[in-house]
Amino acid sequence: MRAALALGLFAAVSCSKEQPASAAVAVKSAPYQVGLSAKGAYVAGEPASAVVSIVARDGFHVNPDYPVKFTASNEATVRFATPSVSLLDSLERVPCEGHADETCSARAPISFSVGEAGAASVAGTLAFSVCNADQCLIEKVPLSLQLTAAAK
Amino acid sequence: MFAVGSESRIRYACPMKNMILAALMVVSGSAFAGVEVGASAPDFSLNDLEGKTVKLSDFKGKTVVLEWFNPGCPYVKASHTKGSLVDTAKKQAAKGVVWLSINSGAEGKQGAGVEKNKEGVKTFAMTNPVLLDEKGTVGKAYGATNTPHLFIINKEGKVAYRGAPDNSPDGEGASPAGGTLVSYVDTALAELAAGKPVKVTESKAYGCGVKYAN
Repeated sequence: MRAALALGLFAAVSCSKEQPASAAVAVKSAPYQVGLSAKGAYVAGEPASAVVSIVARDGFHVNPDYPVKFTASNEATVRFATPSVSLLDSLERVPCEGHADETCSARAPISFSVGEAGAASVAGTLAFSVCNADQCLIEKVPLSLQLTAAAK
Repeated sequence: MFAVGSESRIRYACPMKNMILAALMVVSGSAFAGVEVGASAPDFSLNDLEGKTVKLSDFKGKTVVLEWFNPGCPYVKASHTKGSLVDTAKKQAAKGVVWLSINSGAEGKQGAGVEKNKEGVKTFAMTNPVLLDEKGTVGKAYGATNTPHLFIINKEGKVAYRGAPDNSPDGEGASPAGGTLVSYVDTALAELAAGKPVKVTESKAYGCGVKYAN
């Protein structure tokens, strides 16, 4: 229920882990869903951003202390200021229903620029941690976002 | 400081218990505050994985490190395979430091029991004793909330440091705060060995919650 509400907030769309897509990645049986979503229009050479999201479910919550990080992969066709972006301080957190001291979903923008007009992809790995009373998981999930940049 | 791990939230189904717990936390600052830096380290007697009894008081006059341990915790795995606890116990033992790992996980909990800890010892190539504290008495006396959670006891038997092994709460040493990895434990032990005061005596522990019985 908590996760369902949080999912609604992010309006995420599930797909399998193998499908690179501009939406969410839901690993079957995993107590979380992560995603990389487009934000606004993309113009070649202009500053751009996308939104990384993490939704914990099945009684898990997002570990607030873990240094959430997005590390761009080499094959990405966009440019990041740094190859690894710490998201811990920029996470917008949504508390769990009935447990305001826990975070059930979180999201943060990542900034980059698209070099040329046309199709491009943002790709990288999101490192995060979710926990419940019995265990913590440290996950590193590949994410990608296909986008089209307009000419300047 | 209430350095409770993110998964170690204490919950009670009974509202009255919640109220009592909340009141206790307001009074004490934590559910079990544990030993303060500068205070005498509580003595204990625990069995290792071979059933041999180990007492803290056996090491009087020596510097002792207590490492709260759970071989099933991914932060412990990361610390022992990639992070700042790789071979740290061995290196410190060579310098005369006594390193004791303690598992306060209750029976049936993640990483608890002799066999799982023996596997952990093998996996992480540990040579120091792992002590079982299934009742959690020692863990609570020290205020151990996380795995890993480290306490350094100086030669005078006082707690000289308590907290995380380092400033990289991913356990891997890959995301240090400020950009430079700092092993609080190595630094404190070096300061003690040099007869200097420990500069960083406390840090926020990170990792899994200790798997106490309740």
